[in-house]
Amino acid sequence: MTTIQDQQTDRQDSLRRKKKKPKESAGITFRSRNPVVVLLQQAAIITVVLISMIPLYIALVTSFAPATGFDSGNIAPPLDNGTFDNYVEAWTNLGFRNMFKNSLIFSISAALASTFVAAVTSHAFVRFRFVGRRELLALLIAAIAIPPIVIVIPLFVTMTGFGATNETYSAPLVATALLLPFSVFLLYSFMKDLPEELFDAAMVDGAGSWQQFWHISLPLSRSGLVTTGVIAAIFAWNDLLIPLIFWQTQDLETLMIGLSKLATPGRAGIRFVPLLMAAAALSIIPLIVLFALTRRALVRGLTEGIGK
Amino acid sequence: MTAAPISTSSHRQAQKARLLRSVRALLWLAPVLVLVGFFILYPLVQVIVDSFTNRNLFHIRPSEFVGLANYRSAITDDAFWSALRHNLILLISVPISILIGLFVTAILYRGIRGTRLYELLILVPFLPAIAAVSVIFIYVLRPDGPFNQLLTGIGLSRFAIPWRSDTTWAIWAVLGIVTWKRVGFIALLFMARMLSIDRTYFEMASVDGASWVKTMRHIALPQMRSIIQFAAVIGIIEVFSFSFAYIRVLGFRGTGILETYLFGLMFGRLSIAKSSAVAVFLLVIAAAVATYRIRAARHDLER
Repeated sequence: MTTIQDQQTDRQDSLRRKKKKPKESAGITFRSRNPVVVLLQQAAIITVVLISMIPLYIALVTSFAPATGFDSGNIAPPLDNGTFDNYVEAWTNLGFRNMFKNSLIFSISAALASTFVAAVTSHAFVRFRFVGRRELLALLIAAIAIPPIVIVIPLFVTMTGFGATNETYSAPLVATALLLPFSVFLLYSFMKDLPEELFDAAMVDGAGSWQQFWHISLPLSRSGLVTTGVIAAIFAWNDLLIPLIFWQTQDLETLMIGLSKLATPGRAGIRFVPLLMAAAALSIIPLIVLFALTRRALVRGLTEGIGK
Repeated sequence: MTAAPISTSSHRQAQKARLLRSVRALLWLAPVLVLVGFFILYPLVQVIVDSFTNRNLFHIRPSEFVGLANYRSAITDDAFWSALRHNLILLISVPISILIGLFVTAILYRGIRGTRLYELLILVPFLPAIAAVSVIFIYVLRPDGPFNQLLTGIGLSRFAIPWRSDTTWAIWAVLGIVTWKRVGFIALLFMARMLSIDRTYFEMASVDGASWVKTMRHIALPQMRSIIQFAAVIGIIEVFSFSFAYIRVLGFRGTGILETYLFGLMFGRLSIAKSSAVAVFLLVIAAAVATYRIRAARHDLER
């Protein structure tokens, strides 16, 4: 029987081997020798890449265009009279600074809370054999498929009754609960493979279940925690529905709400386009940062947990 | 029989230990039970109950049981059926993005000039938020916007239609946008999985003279089954959770889906009851998906 560590190093080795591949071309390469096939493959990938990039490239270039005199006659306006005015305008006058802050609060708190509760839950599912364990797990997994809007509307009525809407905690709390089924599903699939012998050894040493959780489950599923947290943060970052319903006051507007309001017919005029593009571009920054910081752990987590 | 008392006492002890374990498990599960109970289960029951009443948002009169009236009013509304149709159209993005993801992975893994750069570039649409993507495409798909200019430029002006206001094609444009945003992430998932497969499998196949297409089909695909299922789950979640955001921000004409339809019944017509009936329809679709998913997950989840 191989342990988790063995499997991990195996995978890391294969990842590393792949990275170095171009240099050690002594190994077998799968590249086609048929020039037509090579050309077709290159063309196919470049097509996919161009389709992926061009809309964002256009948006980025347009976001630097001066607001006056912009018309869609030239797809990519020349950059020589480029300006940051649109960004400044969006950040200050359109209130994007505040929306940015609200979006960060919303996604970070919901991602952290749901990942932590999911970790506690997965630990319980892995470590305890109790009545109804299988059924409860199945129920949680089934809840993944429930469309949030089905839940959110009766919940809005209930929470309004308690006076619990439009508070700072309202939207993150609802998001935490709605993220849970998926986060548990993800984290459980990591934790169920932790070697039982480790827990047994810890038990012999007198470690209580909280210590086992803290010193074994959490550190050993680090990449699983990162993966779960990042996916939860991305889901929350993209969400429009929950803030729309539970954060209805203007000082609690998120980026998504702000962008959705900008897109109303009132601003359909072509002269607003550069401003809109700058506003949209601002929302890209956090995910680039998140991704740059966690990409390696994320990729490893995705293949270790669910991939097998 | 001297063994009998001992075995009963040990039996009782075992029972006690089991009870203790269940209590301890319950403590660990308390957070998830409270959160899921209050924020998911309770609203779920509520929505089903409400769908049989005439409850409205402001409780002008006490709600009464009205039987199937809300369901009848839903299925006799043309907007309901067109919304349902649009939901199903958006679900097409799940298989399409998986197929493109597999195709891209097969080529990139095989190795072409610039593999690592392409891997990164394909992921780019995944980065901007959905609302931002929607705002960008409102511009890109304007009647006089970049996309139509491109079509005209390459002599396809016949297809340069006003995407935002064309009631036939607008929903297909939305499908394109949804798929466009997801392909990169799916490709990232698949590529990561491919790299974790032992390379010697592929090398052996190559030595045996198997074509690349055959190698992919018979060696890579079976190994990728669970990651493909995972991609499908993520895709389905996205369609159910985020279509609302796309449709609402894009504001393309005639692209209502069940989510926007029931949102309108709730906050436009203030009818909790009518929107609940539509919600139950959505739930039935979700239940069908979940049943399939649980069956697929059953063996994965057994320790």
